[in-house]
Amino acid sequence: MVYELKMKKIMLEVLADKISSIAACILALLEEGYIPNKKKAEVINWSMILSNVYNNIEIFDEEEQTKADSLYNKVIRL
Amino acid sequence: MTNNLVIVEPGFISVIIPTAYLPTYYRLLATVIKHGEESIANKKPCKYRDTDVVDCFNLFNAAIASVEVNKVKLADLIISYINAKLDTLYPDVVIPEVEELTYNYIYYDVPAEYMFTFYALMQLLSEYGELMLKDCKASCNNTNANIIRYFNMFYSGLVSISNRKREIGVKLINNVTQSLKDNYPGLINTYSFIFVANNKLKILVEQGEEHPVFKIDEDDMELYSDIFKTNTFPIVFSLTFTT
Repeated sequence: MVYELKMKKIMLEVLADKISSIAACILALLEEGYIPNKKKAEVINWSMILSNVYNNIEIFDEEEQTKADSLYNKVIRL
Repeated sequence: MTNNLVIVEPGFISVIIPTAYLPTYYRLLATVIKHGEESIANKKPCKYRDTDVVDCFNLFNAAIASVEVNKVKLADLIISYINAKLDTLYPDVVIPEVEELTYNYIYYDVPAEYMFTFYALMQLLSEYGELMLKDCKASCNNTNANIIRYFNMFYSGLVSISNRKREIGVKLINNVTQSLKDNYPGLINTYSFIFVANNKLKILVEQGEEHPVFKIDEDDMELYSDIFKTNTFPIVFSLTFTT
């Protein structure tokens, strides 16, 4: 099923930015001697999984693509 | 093996999903789409954690790691376990139809300079997968949870490097390397080791002064060029001949 290429690219970029920004935050905490909380790991985990989903979004039908977008909105707000 | 060696310049290690595992991978993605939101909303108690889609995904990473460290039988077992879990827990998920699954899927790329950390992580992830097969509560254990944390941090580092934030990525991966050295002494090899690519080509890897040095046997050069032509070789590098 066709998925707009531009949208796919943007979503993957946003997810990569999300992972990078959390990574920067984790690094800053580690350098100060703190242990990052589980929430940050959860955000990275979900962003990683969603990146996999969007890399293969064309194999899903329209209903699943809409559901993926809905999940994306949820993960971005984590 | 140590005679007639040719030094090759390292580039990237491409981690691939073998063709046989692709249906499970696509099924996992479909499960994430269908049950992801409820999984985020429902925090399950630790003893049920292996039923979560995220844990199934971590197990899938463990299977891929097992392939990387040449434990293919273990990888097959983990994949069977994931399929059984998905059959039981998410029978309503429709597996996406993909025409002719005859290709190997490139999962992610790792700069070769981090390959020693990468292989240490792959060993740990593979052990994590084995423990999960023996006891589904293994993911509740702090030590095992840390393995997933290290992998996530390593992966975040890779994403940062490819996302124009090299400095953060490098620092993060160095941090993972240091943590592994501290917590698992002797795990990160500083000595040579050999691994087999595509079950055909033997490559000797040594820790150089700055970067790992890849060496291949001259006897295998025919094989190497053959694999390179078919474009299925999992490691991308250029050749530099030495005399």
